[in-house]
Amino acid sequence: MSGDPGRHGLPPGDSSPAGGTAARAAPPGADGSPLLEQPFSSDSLYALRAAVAAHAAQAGVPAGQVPDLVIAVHELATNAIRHGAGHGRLRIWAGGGALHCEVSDDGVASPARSATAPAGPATAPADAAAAQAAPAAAPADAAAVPADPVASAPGGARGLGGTGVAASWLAAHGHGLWLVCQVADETAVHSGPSGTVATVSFTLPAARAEPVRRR
Amino acid sequence: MTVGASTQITDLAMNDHACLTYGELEELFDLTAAFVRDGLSGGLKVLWLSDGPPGQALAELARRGVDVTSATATGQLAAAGCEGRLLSGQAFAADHAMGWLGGQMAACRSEGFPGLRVAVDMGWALRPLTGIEQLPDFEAGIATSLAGGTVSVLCQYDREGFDPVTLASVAAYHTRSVAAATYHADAVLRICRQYAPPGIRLAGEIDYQAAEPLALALAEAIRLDGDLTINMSHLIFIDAPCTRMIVDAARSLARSRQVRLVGPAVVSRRFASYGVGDRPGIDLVTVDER
Repeated sequence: MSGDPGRHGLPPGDSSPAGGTAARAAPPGADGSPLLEQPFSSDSLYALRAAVAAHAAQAGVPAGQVPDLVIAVHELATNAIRHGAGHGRLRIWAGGGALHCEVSDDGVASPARSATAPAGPATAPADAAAAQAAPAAAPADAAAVPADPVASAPGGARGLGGTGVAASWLAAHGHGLWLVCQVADETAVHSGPSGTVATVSFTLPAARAEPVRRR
Repeated sequence: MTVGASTQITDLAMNDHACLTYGELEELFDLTAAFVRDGLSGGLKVLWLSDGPPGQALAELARRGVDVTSATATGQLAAAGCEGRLLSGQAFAADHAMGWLGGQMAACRSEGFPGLRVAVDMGWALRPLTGIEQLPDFEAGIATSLAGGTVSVLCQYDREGFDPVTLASVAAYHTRSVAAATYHADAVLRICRQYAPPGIRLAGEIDYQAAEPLALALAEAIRLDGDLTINMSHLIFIDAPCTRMIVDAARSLARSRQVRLVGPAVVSRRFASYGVGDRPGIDLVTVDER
């Protein structure tokens, strides 16, 4: 992954208090201030992945684990694009010995909508392929997600927490969330009338829990 | 959908003078390996004038399934550089080069081969040489000498290196133009057919937005006979839907056909999480990231 945040830059026009130039200058501190805050849409997934890879590496995620973080954020962002508002926002911050990535969108993800959402012509074969997947051979998406995903995952364990309709559609349709749960140390998805917020957390190596700033 | 290829490398005729254009070395080696493989299996003598060291050229063919050891031992296959053959002392003369080709055609006949295949990497023509203005004469000479015979020549031009004017000026002398069937190509992702070993090649980063060309590439590859290779050696990102499409395609093949999924660790990990690593009929091969 060619992760150079300087090349892709951070997007302009950020209206949130922590966004824009504040996010650019934000130190990798443990106080919860974001290391990265970036909106995304289907046109900017490549830039999003590059930014995630760069910031994850800088925050102390081991090189071998960076791809896991990238795929987790990518799949959550894809869900927001294809089954949510069509665009969304990523925030990454460090805290409690972990790196947290929050993907939010303000679309209403209803089970019916996520099942039938017209997500553009290019997605049809993927949906068809997913629908044709042999149940016996598939990685048992539904089974890999806890039967009752509303229940929060136990702290530290790989698991999934979620509330609202998100809990039902992610379990029912497995839109890459099965994979997200596989790679992240913790996954939580909450959705309601104002949209969906998904957070994945990756435990940072203890020795590097307090990364040295480049100064 | 398939663009840029008027003829497939596997469809060349006995006396074709074909113009191959390639965008990357992987594509050159792949197409050349298919040209060599089909020539050898047809009993023809095969020569490759490569731009790189001949030993390296043969190694690239061997990596793509050509039985280089026995074919070179019997004299059916040879690789060589251009110096002393097409060039002499960094000078190019069309009649000298045609003299070399004529000699090879005569030798091939006297050795009892039913025909000859010659692949020529034209990379030498990009370097400072005297006589380079005779390149169209050379191409015209080849066109004349091949008519009605059993010799085919594959001239290999780097699309990036040669200017469009030069490519256009030599194109007219060729009977066919050959390129890899390409399903998608932009700055981030390239999806094309692989010819040796047969399959498809993905390079760059792929996500659900490229599902349509990926589905087409897989569908066409599945229709080919025999084992299938999905070459992802230069792929650095694949998302869940695309992983799943490839896994489904691999599973859909008959048990008699083997599928090789080749990629760097970051890619093979995605496939391993779908449980394909321990599935009969599917080989998951991890290669070093390049």
